[in-house]
Amino acid sequence: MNSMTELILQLKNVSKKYVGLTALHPSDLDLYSGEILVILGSNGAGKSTLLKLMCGAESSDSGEVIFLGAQQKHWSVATSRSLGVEVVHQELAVVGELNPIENLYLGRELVVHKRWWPFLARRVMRKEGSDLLRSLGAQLSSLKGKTVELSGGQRQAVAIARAVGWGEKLIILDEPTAALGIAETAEVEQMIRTLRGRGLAVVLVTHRLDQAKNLADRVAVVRQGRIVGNFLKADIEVGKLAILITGEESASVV
Amino acid sequence: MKSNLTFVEKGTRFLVNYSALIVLAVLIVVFGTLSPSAFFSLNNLQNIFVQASPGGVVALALTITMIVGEFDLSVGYMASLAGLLVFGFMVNHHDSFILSVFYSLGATSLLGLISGLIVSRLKVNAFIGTLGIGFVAVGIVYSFSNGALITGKTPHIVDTLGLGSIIKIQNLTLLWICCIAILWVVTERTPLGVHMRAIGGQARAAELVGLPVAKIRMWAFVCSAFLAGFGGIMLSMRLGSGQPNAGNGYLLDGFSATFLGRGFYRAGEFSVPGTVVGALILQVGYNGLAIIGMPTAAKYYFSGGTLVVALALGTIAGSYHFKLNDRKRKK
Repeated sequence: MNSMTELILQLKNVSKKYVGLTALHPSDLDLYSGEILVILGSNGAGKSTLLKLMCGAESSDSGEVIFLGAQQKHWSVATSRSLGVEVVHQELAVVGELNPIENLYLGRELVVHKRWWPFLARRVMRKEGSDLLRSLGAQLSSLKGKTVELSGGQRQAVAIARAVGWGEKLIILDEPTAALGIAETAEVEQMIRTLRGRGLAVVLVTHRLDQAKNLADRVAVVRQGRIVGNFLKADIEVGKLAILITGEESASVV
Repeated sequence: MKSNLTFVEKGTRFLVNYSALIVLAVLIVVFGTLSPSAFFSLNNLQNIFVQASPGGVVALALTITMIVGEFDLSVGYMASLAGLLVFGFMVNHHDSFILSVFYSLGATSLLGLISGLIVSRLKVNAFIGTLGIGFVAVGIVYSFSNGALITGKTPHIVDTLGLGSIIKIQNLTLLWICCIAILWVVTERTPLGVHMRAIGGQARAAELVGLPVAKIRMWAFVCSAFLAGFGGIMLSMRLGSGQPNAGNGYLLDGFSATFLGRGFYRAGEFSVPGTVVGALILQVGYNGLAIIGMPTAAKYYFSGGTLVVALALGTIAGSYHFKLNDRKRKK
């Protein structure tokens, strides 16, 4: 990595077993600022487990999690969020019944205290929220209507903007374009590049090899609970990735 | 961004978004035309509001649980229980009014807490859980009174609140307005209100952003039982006695009001303003039918019919919104 990047998160020898199944064998992974790491793998390969270990949704059975140089003994979602880690889930990223601004601030609403009760600071949230969406290049048809009325790409933009608004260090995106069309996918991809430009560490889980090739600074391939490939941008070859994902041939780790 | 909707689509959307208000306006026009002097008299308008008030508070109780994606079948029984207990404590135990209200609402709130724990923590279906607790409330009613009406000497404040008025607005109506104002502020202007709507909309998504879904749902049941009890106490003050079954009918009316309310304010969703309009639709209907001399049976036809129509309208509105959104997205 170049000298300007910062090591944000280190997973050292982490593993996870469920009853009768090893979801992830002992694995290492480093995440750097200003870098898009794409995680590839087929269904059930262990991508989700790896993602959950990164954000603290699951605790590791072994090894250690190091965030900005400090070992995390109790790595939970609450801890990771407080340190600037946000996840954009594939489904259920936003609540359709709320408006985009309510979704952006859900769970972290800005309030003004009048006497003893906290009231929503609606004007401030609308102003700051629309500024944030604009800065990410998201164009929404309405900030007041329900989020369910937006297109898939716009909804995903709201979810990403929420992550950016609170995730100061690391954003994890779980197949954010899986349900989107070509134009909407391009919009979301552009947003992901913007995140990298802001110096955030970005983890993108995807099935699409072309997307990995276009966006990734680094690619990690997961198969049968192991990280079987870890390539820098210059070494990414779509054919090689496909072989690694399907397991027809093994490859060396960088 | 400019709207791409056609004139017909805009018109249909208006009808869907304001259907409850339109129904209310139509009822007022119809009954006002059929019997203008009786319907629009000050006395009758006061009557409509005061009769709507206890049931309106019970409907608000139901709305709280509906907003968080649950429902509470015990509200009618809770209303009966609190209405009976408050008179029981005042008449049989000679407790003060304040203490009697405190005990009664404490009892319903405790039952609400049990409902909340059963539904949110033990994951028992709300239909079963709240119906069970409702029957427990009925049991308490019969243990307390043997099914008899409780009446007798009560503090002066009971008559003042139940029958008095300030500037031609009945005190019970003022109490309803206070409940509406407080609940509107909480549900529309505070983070808690947004969290409740998020949980009712997509509980899993709310959980993923760290909202305490089970806790908020549990407290919604407590709040619902408290409010239902309050509505029951309002009713008993108006009746001047504690009656074992007085509030039971509020369940059906409450459901009708909340579902009718989906056709106003935030179309397709449960809301405090929507429920208020729903409760007024029912009361204007009951009042108008009585004024034009329809038999009692008409009230029940209207009540049942309104519930069915409200549910059907809710489904049509939901499906229409889906189609419209789909069309907007394609454009």
